[in-house]
Amino acid sequence: MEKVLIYGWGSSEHLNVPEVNEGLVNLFKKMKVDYVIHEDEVTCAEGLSGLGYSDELNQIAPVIIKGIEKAVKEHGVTIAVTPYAASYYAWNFTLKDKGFELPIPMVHIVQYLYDNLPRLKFKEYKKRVLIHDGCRLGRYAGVVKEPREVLKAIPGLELVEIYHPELEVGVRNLKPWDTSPCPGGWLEIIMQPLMKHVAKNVIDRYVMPQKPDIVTSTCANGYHAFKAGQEFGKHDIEVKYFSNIVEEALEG
Amino acid sequence: MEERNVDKIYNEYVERIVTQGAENETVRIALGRAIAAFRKNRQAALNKYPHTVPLATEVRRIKEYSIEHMHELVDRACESIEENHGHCYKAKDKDEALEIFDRIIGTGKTIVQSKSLTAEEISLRHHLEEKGNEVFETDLGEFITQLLGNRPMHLLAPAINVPREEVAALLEKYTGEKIDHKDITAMVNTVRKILRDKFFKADFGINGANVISADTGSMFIIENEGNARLVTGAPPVEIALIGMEKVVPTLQDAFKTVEVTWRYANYKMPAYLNIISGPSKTGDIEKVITYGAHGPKELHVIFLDNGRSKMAKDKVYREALYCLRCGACLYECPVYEITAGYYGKKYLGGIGTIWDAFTTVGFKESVPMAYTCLRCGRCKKTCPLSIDTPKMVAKLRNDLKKMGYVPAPVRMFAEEILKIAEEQK
Ligand code: SF4
Repeated sequence: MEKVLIYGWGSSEHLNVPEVNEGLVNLFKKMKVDYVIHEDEVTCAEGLSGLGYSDELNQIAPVIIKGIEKAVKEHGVTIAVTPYAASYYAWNFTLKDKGFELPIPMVHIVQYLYDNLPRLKFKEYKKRVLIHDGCRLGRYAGVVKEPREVLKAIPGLELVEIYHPELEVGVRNLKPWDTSPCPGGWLEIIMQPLMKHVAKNVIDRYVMPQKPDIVTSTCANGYHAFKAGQEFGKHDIEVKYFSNIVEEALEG
Repeated sequence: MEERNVDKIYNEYVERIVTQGAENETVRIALGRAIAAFRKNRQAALNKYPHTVPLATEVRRIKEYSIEHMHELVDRACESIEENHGHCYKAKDKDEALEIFDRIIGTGKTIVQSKSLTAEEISLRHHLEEKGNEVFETDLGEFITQLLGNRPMHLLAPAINVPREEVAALLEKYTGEKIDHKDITAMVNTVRKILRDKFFKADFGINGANVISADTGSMFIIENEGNARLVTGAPPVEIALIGMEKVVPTLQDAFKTVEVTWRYANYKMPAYLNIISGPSKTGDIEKVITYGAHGPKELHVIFLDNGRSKMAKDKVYREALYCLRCGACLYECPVYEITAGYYGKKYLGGIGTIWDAFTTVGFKESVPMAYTCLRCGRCKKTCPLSIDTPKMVAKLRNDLKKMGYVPAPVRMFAEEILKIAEEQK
């Protein structure tokens, strides 16, 4: 029987978006999936390499692996699920390329939901939702079909994409996740005072023209930036993390 | 001089980028207008000339080869220039380049200059003015920037942050004449009038180049305004300052490179493509070649290293030398979109951070820019040569960390994680 390890719990606490964690818990409850919150998590560790601390991440990686091995042993978890693009990307690409392997697969929540789509029973959710792909998940890793298929499966939900004129240059063959702008989640750490300005501008210029009811991101870090931008810009729009929308639309 | 503390450098920069950039509504308005126009034009240009996209892949290969063989190609270009009766120099750094300029120009001269980031890199105008020369920037945006006492805010559009209302006010102050604050044509005409006679009175014209071919020693200068044409054609002496990375093997390679450059820089075709291979000459009297016909009598070409060789040696940073300076990545950067040139020092944006670290302000002063980049990768997608700026920025951050240059917020964040990890070991 599959048992999920929720990975990234501490990051959501750190970024002050506990609703991401609550949403995941409610989601797994509704899906009747057994889950465990990863208590031994080294919060936000995967971001270190991009911040100049690659060597340190290499030292921390075995600690993270050990923590997950412990969770496997103590709780019998079979899969780690994260709402963070950076964690997914690190364990499936950068750290993997360096030879670090987790004892169980690390998937992103959009993939987990997509793989379980036949089990998901949705009620009507009449909202126009604009999707933003987390940079590392969409542009870098190409995990783009999964979140869209999940949202499209929700009756009444109208999915809209971020527009860019370059999408109309046939020979470039670019897709919305190639050109979508980052709302600047990492600025929280590297240059905090800038974040709300960047996110507000992204909402002003790219989100509002599409007239959605909700803007969602497939990365919890992107979501947290959008939230800050919306609060700062007082836009008449809701900001929700991807799996929170799915949870709200689920029967049960 | 007392060494500046990294946190002080970082804090000053954050204060500046937030208050003068992000919180400045004027910057946002001007950038919003410019970015929308740029994207629309580029879409039209690439749709009309779709061959540009595969051509860009070919240009990437040309640049890879050229940087690998940079010194050899510069030597070959110098031979070609001398063969064409020009003078060629190689400057290993800023001081050497400025010294060459001083030797050629001296003092008390009038100089017209066309837009050149390489000149900006070595603060050329400032230096020549200090030596008692009068220097006029002739690119319209650069001229506005000069009047403002500011520095360029974009590779192609130096005054991108200045809306029309401010330009009009500035020109009114300069000329003492009334200018309609909405009438851009009137503003352009005013600048034309101001600069017209300067081109012909100038003793020297200074220009940069988009690319130079080693086999023929031909510099290519893309422009729309016609000022580069006058700068390189009217004064009796022309001096070109060219970064070593601009050299490509052949004339054919140069044509390919400039076409990709202007197309990705949002032009179907620029108004002018200047190709200059030597001083002006004529053989019209008895086929005796005489130098100094209608154009300059002398041509001096200075190749600038100034950190480029060091960049070329590193397999990650080397990519920065492929940059065509089309400016497209800046328009796609979510931070630049609200801060303009406040994200950078001499060079701008993510790619500019690498350039600034190696060629202008050095590694320590580049710290805040290195920690402005989101590493979101949108620039790489838009770049004609798919230059991996996020990868270079990650390497720069790691190198800065090894030098002990990490700003406080990042340091504290990392230390917290390392502490948790240590506890869990
Ligand atoms: S990095 Fe690429 S997109 Fe940016 S200016 Fe250079 S060539 Fe253009």
